[in-house]
Amino acid sequence: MNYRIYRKFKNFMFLVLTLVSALAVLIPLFMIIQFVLVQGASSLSLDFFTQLPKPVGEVGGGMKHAILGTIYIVLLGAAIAIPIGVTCGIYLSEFSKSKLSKTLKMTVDLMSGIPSIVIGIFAYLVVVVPLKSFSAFAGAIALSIIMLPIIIKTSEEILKLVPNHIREAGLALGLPRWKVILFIILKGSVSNLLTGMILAISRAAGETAPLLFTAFGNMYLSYNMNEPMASLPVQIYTYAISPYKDWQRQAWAGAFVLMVLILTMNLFARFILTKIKDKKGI
Amino acid sequence: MPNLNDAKVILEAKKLEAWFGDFHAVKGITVDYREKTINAIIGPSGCGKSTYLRCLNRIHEEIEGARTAGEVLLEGKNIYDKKVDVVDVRRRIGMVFQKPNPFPSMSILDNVVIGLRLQGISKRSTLLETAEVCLRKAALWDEVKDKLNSLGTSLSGGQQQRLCIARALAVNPPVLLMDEPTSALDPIATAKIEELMNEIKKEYTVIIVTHNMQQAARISDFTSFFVYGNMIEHGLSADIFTNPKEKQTEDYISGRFG
Amino acid sequence: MDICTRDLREHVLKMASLVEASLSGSLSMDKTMEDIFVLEKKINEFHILIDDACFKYMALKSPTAKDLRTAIAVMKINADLERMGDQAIKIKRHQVTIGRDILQLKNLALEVNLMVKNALDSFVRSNTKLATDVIHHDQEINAINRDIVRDYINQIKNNVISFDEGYSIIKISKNLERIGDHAKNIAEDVIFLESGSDIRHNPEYKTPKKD
Repeated sequence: MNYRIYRKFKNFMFLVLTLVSALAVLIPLFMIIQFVLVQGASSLSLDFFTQLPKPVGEVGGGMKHAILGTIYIVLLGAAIAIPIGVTCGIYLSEFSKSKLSKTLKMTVDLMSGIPSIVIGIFAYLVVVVPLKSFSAFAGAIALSIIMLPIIIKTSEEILKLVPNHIREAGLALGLPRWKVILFIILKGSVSNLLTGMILAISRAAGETAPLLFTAFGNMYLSYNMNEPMASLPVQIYTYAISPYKDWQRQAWAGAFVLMVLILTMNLFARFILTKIKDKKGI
Repeated sequence: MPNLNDAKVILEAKKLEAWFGDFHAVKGITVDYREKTINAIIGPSGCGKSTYLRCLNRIHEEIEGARTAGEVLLEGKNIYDKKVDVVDVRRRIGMVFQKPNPFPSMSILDNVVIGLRLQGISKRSTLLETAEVCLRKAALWDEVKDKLNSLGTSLSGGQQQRLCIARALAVNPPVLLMDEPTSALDPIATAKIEELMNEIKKEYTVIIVTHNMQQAARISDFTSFFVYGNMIEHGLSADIFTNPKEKQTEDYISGRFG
Repeated sequence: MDICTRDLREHVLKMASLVEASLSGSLSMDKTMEDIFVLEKKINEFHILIDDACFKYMALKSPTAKDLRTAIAVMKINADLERMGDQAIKIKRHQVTIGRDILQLKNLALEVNLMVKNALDSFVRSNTKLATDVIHHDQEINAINRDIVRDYINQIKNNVISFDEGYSIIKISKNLERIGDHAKNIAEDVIFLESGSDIRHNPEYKTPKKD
């Protein structure tokens, strides 16, 4: 009898332990959201999205240039990383017999472990120094290096999810291998691949360190990719460490916008993924 | 009844061998297949019958470490000849797999015509016409004609398998290989596929690997019995199942094997 | 190899029509021994063909339920039909010795032929009621046969007819009675085929049918 109570007690204790751990994860997350919201809400207005920064001392102004800059740099980075990443993923999943692919896999794992600041310095040395100017292009390069391992990994895994007998069925129809990969395997996984890309983009969108050394940031609207360009993370960083109260409030608002942006992208990706999984069990 | 042994030979294997790495899976098979007949291959699990079948359209070589030797003659021409394009071989020797495998995220219609479309045929009327003909041959038309644009994967298992048969027929191969096409299906779906096989044999030569001896007996004109990569016996199914020449065959079909 | 039960049944019907021709020819003065032999040869060919078809059908199609019963019934009916053909030859032999029509035999033959026809009809139409009638009818045939045998033994004893002639008449009567037995067997097979129940050696069917 005693033993049974003891056993039940142990069970209960374990349950409590797991619950506490789960809460320990959830609480900071909600605290962050709440904190950012409270601090930034006062500066959140239509102006924030449509106005450029006002000179120091003037109240008001927005981060239009940084929001657009982030979108611009991230999309440019994605445009570089996605074709290379997906092709690389195809190579890894479809031609995984070669020695090169094993080396490549290891490299990709290493790449995803490189601290983003190192990537920033790398892009600085490779792009900024030779061109003698901070530029949006350099920022895009840095972000694409951050996106690459994620895109490669997810596309490799997604393509490997397609069962082998689907490939064989394509080959058995008398189709060349490249057509099978491109029009059957890849086409069948387009929505899955899209999810991987969105996840990679949302990860890159929040990066600050690589952009500090590359896109640098400025205070006006610019679409020239050979010039420095503002971005939300860098703008937040600059405003947050400034001594002006108004700027600090705007930094909070920027943080809120950035978070919402990334969260929406994540949720959207997850939504697509679950929809795909429900629809067909390949 | 016309004598099946007088029909034209369409496909023949000559001393065909196959390996997986060091494992000798198929050991010197020599046999010929007559035009417009159903040929069953039976034998215990792991006897190399699937591997053998996969050598007949050179899909075996897609597996890492797989290797073959010997010849397979399709209408007299060796498909393993260096000058022969493997893509061309597979276009003329179609295949249906054990597990129904319609292409994912593709409509029923697209599944059927993908082979033709990727060969460069893009005229919609031609594609639609082929799709209807092939779906009819696969006894699926009546069930899907109103939902040609829904996903191929939305069909039931038996329907999916018939869709795969239609897809294989669409490139119009004279020879169709089937690797245990009904082993994942229930008896009703199986009966439907057996029925349609009887229809398609009017135009195509079918070579089918099956675990189900009754199925081989029911549908095939010729039967081969494989054990450990060797072909023990090949002959008219009516002879194999009533009066096999080899003791091993007799034991296997009487259920006394191993 | 596409044998089905319909093919088996068709073979049986073709064979049955030959047997019926042979039976009606056996007591007819118009048909010669050769005519009957020609029919017998064809019947024997069917005998082999049907058994082979059934054998292959069972080996290849692994039939179950009614298909299986059909195959088995067809094999048995096949054997009965072949025996009927043989009886017809024996009848013809004796009929040649007699060389004239005997009214009692003619009547018995009419009854027996009707019985055979009904048995085959019950097979064609899957009619178990008709088959049951055939089985009851067999008792009447047996009774007629007994009458003929008794009658002609007396005639031989009293030297009304020659021994050879009397013996042949008795043999023919006996052969006809045997044909009736085969018809009854066919009817029993039909009941087995249609209902799955084996009614052979059942006392209920031993008595003549009460109207």
